[in-house]
Amino acid sequence: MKRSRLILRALVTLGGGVFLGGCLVDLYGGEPQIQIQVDSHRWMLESEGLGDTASPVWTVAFAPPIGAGAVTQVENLPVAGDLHLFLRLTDTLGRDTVVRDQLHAGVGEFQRLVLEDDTGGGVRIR
Amino acid sequence: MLWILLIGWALHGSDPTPAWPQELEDFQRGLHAKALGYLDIAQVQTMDPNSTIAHPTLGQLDGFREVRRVLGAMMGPDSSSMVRLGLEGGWEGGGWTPDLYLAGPTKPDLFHAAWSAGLCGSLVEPGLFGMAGLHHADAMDWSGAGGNRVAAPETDLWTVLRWKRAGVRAATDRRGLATSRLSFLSDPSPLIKDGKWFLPLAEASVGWERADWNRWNGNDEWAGTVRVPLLAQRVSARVEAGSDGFRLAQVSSDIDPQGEVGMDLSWSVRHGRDLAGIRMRIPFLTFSVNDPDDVDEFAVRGSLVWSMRLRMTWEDSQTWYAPGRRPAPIGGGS
Repeated sequence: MKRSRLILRALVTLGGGVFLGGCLVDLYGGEPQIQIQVDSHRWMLESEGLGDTASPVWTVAFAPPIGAGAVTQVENLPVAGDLHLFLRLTDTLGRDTVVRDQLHAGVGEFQRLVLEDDTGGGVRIR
Repeated sequence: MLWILLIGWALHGSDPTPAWPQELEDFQRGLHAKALGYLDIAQVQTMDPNSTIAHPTLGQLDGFREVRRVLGAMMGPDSSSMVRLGLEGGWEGGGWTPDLYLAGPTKPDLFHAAWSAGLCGSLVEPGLFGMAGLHHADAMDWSGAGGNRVAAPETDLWTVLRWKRAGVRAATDRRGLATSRLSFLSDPSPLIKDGKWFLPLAEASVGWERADWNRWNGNDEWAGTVRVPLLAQRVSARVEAGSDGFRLAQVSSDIDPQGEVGMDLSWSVRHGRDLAGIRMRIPFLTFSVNDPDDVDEFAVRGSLVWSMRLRMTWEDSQTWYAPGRRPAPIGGGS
């Protein structure tokens, strides 16, 4: 067999391998997922979202709000990366607040966040 | 006069889509007076996610880039005519996408679209071919509730002329001349010399690019390119430099006798960064990293890029070629 034909076959095989490898990347990739566990006894989770709180790109509302000891459903995020996450919270007196966090959500990754009271009387995401 | 006013009203001055200057170069390389038509269909995508794209409200996104293109020129059906007219039309779209492989960008996405429309004409006897038309790139926005604009729309008037192996291409918009280049081109059709077929690989060009059309360093710049054969018709070297310095050096090799399978190695300096590039070509598919032509064509760099691309020119009903391809030595045809 001519050398050029051998080289051609090797290249075609290599190209096919790279193509297949790229397809497999997608199989274990996919949308990142998020789940939030509420451990705060003062605040309940009303909604979660990404982006600007005034005009969020993605948001999920909970009705009734998620209280202490409960977890949200696993939600698929529309994007991956270092994302601006916000949580809208409400307390038993009807006061509202917003907590922001920088969320790293890689392609295909699952994140479980815990909302808990801090010692200063506020709330934080762990 | 009215036509000039309408054109003046339509033109915008803004950054062009990165692919368009390179696409004009492809036109000029591929089409000559006897060509019946030209077709370029492409799907290009990065194969690994990268986090280089900042969303105005979401943060720094991981994702992929993709480009899709359909572009063609078709001459009149009478192939024996000495004076021929034709039409050109094209569409290109793409941008950031969170998924891989033929998946349409989902929201929130950064999508751009551009189109071109033009007229072609050739005088076969003197070997003269010309094209002229409009190219328009839509504004680029992040979709979704944010809707932030990241690039203004852009329209330009472009022309490509070729007389035998000499060529000129130019584009202009409201701000005046955007780019212009004179070139000596290898003839894309095969030649016979001493009973042997060969494809000339020599090319040379010199021209000027306005800052917003300069894909290398963003300055107004004069630039020149030379491509010379190194080893028969299988290996060629190409060097490009501008008045502000070195741009690229590339060695291209065609492994098969028809020039469809090959490997290109390059070193380029783009926006002050040194980039080592490699591109592997097999029929319809290429895989590349930092290949200067792929970066120019699809604005994708820094990661492994695959492209599924069908690019060909018809010379008559029996003879077509992709750039670099020529008919088999015996029997002609494809």
